[in-house]
Amino acid sequence: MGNNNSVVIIGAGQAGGRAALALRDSGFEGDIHLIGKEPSPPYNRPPLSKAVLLGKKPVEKTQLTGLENYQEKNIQLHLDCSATAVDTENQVVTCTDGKRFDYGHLIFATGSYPRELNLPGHELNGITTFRTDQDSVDLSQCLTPGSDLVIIGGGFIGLEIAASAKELDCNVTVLEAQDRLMSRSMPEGAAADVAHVHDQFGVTIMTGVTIQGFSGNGKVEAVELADGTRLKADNVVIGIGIIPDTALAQQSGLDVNNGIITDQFTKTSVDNIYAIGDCACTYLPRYDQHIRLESSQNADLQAATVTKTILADPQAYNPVPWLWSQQYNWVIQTAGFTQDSDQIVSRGRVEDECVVYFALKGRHLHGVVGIGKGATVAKEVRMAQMLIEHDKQPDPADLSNPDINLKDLLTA
Amino acid sequence: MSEWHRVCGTDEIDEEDVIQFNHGDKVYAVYNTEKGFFATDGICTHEHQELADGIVIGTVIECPLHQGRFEITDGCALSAPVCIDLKTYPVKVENNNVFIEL
Ligand SMILES: Cc1cc2nc3c(=O)[nH]c(=O)nc-3n(C[C@H](O)[C@H](O)[C@H](O)COP(=O)(O)OP(=O)(O)OC[C@H]3O[C@@H](n4cnc5c(N)ncnc54)[C@H](O)[C@@H]3O)c2cc1C
Ligand code: FES
Repeated sequence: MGNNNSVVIIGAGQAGGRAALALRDSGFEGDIHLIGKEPSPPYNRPPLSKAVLLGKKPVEKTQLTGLENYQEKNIQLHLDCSATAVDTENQVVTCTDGKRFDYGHLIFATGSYPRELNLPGHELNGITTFRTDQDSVDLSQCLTPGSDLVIIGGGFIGLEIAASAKELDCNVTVLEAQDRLMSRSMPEGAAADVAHVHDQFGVTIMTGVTIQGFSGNGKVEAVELADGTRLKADNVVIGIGIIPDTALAQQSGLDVNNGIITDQFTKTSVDNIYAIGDCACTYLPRYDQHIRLESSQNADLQAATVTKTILADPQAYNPVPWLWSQQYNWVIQTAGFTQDSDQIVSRGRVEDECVVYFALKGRHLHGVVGIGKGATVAKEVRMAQMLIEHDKQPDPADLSNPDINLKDLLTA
Repeated sequence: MSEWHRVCGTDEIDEEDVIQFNHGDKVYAVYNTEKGFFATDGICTHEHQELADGIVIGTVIECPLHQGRFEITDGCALSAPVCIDLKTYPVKVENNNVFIEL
């Protein structure tokens, strides 16, 4: 029978690492086993497409904390080790190397992996997805000045890599299948503004593109489009989204539907098993829906939530989701959701280096997107996030008026 | 030798707000909170970001870049991604002026 006083965490990424550290820091005294497929101890991925790619941050600096800290806190770190089976009856996890761990509590923090693009020629060298520290180190060595980089997918990661590669003096083209950038996460105007910023920096963005395949001799030389266009490429990065890593959870009998289904306390459908981070589809009371989030803040906050749940001090996870992206010296922040909204209003203009879009659903503020140089949009995005949190019904005319302080609308 | 330096008038920082104070080549953040005026280093301990662009909630400053949070009164790092505390500095108010000891 499982060791009641032991926590096993599958996935030593941002969420798993934070949960292990938080459990110890909150006074949990039992065994903690943190099992990770990757060779590196838990690290933050956000800098990989930004400072690490640019060579401004050594890759080791992305790690949550030094190896000695896990030792000091008596957290058993099993790296280069995959969990392959979970016996939920006897509460035992089995790993590739034959190691077995009894658990009292089991946390799935298996994250997600990049969607592949299985078109003809996809196996050529120089074509890569981008997820790990090693991916970042490898790509940074390929991005020599004057080389041609083609990025497939105009989402956050693709655009961040585009910005970094441009700063490294590569010729950068972004190919997007939809008729505009970030169609899933941003209103049309905001996407056009982001395209405008990239245009200013000299990145070529092509939308509504169908890709036929890749050509080259051992190494990629070009991306072939359906309309016959041939785009020269020394390197190709595929950034067309991620897939939550739920295979083991499903095989273990957990409810899975676009992520491992959990309640607002991160509990899955099976007793003593929890799921956090990119792999979890969590019930958010505020939206009365299960929602899977893919962000750094979500990984951190859910690590805190599972810690509380395991320590029998449950606190519902119920944030207005927030995330940031950095491209060149521009910051994009979003809070809430801008899809399925009834009305979009904006304040500021991208030409003035600071623009904020507000999405209203009925009379309620539902989402916000800010695009600005430096952190200029942070205050307004944060205030809007609080307006959403408090279920406020601001007057759209006030939202679009830059002379109105959003803070005043909070108390109104 | 530490010395007191005038930052601004007390009415130049809104309640529950923060301003930046530059001195020498260093940057400080000076706060007006419900518990009075306080000062900390002006740059986040996570990445190089000026905290004065962030927002003050009660006695907490939230970094504008990644929403890392610090307790203003003692500089304590409260939540990820920040884990290193902020340095704090003594502050006094005299004749409606705010001073920082550096
Ligand atoms: C390049 C890049 C840039 C990003 N930038 C931003 C940003 O600017 N802002 C933002 O908010 N978010 C950003 N994100 C998203 C953010 O990094 C993720 O949301 C976050 O990493 C999720 O954490 P996680 O722990 O759930 O998953 P991960 O960090 O992916 O960790 C999961 C780990 O589990 C391991 N694993 C899986 N299955 C097993 C198994 N069976 N046994 C053992 N180990 C296993 C995986 O190998 C992986 O190491 C970015 C992501 C990437 C890739
Ligand atoms: S720079 Fe302040 S939280 Fe990251």
